[in-house]
Amino acid sequence: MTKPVSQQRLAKAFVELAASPVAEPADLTGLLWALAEHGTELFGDCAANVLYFPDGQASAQVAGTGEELIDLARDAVDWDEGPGPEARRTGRPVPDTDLDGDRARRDWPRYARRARELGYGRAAAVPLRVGADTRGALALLGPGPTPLRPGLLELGQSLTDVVGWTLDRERRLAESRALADQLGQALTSRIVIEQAKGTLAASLSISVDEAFQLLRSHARSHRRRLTDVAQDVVDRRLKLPPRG
Amino acid sequence: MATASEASHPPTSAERKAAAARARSAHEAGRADRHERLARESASPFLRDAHLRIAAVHRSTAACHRTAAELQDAFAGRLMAWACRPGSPRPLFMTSVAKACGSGGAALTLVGTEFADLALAASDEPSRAAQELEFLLGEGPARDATSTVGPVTATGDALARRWPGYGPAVGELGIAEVAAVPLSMDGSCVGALTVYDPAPGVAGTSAFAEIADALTRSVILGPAGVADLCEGIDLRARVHQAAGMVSVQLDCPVADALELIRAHAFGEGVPAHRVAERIVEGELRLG
Repeated sequence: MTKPVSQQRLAKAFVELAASPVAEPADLTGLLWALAEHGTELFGDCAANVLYFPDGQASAQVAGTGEELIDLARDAVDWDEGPGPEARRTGRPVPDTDLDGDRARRDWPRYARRARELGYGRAAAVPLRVGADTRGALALLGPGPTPLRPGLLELGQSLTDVVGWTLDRERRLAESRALADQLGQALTSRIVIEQAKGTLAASLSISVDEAFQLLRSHARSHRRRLTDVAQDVVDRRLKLPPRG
Repeated sequence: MATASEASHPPTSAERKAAAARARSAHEAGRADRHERLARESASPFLRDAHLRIAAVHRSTAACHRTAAELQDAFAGRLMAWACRPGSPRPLFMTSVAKACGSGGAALTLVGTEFADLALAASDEPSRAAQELEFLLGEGPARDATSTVGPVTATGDALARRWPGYGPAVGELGIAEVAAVPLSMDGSCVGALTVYDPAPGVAGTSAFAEIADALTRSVILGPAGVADLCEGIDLRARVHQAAGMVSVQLDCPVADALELIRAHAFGEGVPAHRVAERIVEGELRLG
């Protein structure tokens, strides 16, 4: 599942990331890959992987530089161990941690061993915040026992925040599209009800107010939405008998 | 000033909406500040650029909510003055919108997929009449602004050149200039805001588009939804009732009936709701 990301594509992904593509949703997978790839590049000899849970507890999407890292990220999720799941759970950064130390051995027994086997000696993570929620994390893995470079976590957080912002923006875009649709539907259904009142009034020689009563009681007794009954009346699929 | 329920007291309600819009504006400005700081602290050019773009989005949203707060403040002021003058006509929100646009009159049109013209709100009679012409003729600035999702402006002779029916008719109302901007948010266009005879230069300024933006984000698609506008919003209920009746009388689809009512109204030089009223009362039969 490794995906080579050229330098150019990376630059493009990050420019697009905040370039406000108003109408179309951003390439989400591309963003996660860009985060992992760009992270790795920015973080020097550190490796990076990303966890993202689109809907709370549902299955995680992972991205990383190389099969082994992706597998490690998946295992971390399955075991609920390691800095990524921890940052995601707590919503807070996990500081640079010695994978051979007591804390890693105690809290992440399986993860720490697997990471050490892959040649990593240090691990840290920052949360991926989408709006008010923490939806994932960026995990950083350092080779050997040397502590991670100072400022690395801040850089990682900044990068992750940009991705989180973009994901949140997608969410807000979808919400405003839904609102616009609802508004159109609400107005349209009120119009159709008025038309149905007129249709019934003319076909039964009753007043529009009486027509409305008839529509309403039909909808109620058949447990249908008033709008649907009105649409059927307007389209002549439904003929209501006069009352009484 | 005390009323049984504060919520039903119009000036208080407008003030509360103003306060809510101001709070949203401050929140957005705070987010812009944060991203500008992050951009300054950023080591990577990609990141710096990304944070600056994000900050710009928040700045513009902050400005939009601030404009909405100003509209609500102005409206609250009018309502306050109205409350002190018993018997005077209740001010319309759209009047505040027109004033903010530097125009005597403004109309708002909401469009849908099924009906090109769902509803309208106007600041005064002439604006309502101009919007009515657009409804009757099926052409005009609001329709163009929504279909192109871009600003539209026309003055003098250009009116008739651009809209052969609407141009001369709107001229007869004494209107020499129209300008319209789409009400759109994140790619969804819900309608248009049109101003009639705006003060010189208004059509070209960003203020006009900003007001449209504030209306869309903060009022029409805002937390309270279109309920905010509802007192002034007109769905042309009578016209649609009449269309239903005509569709039965002539055994035709309701859309054709609507078209007939429009044509009749334009031919007679009266608003569609007048024609509709007579049809519903049984005084007029088309066909």
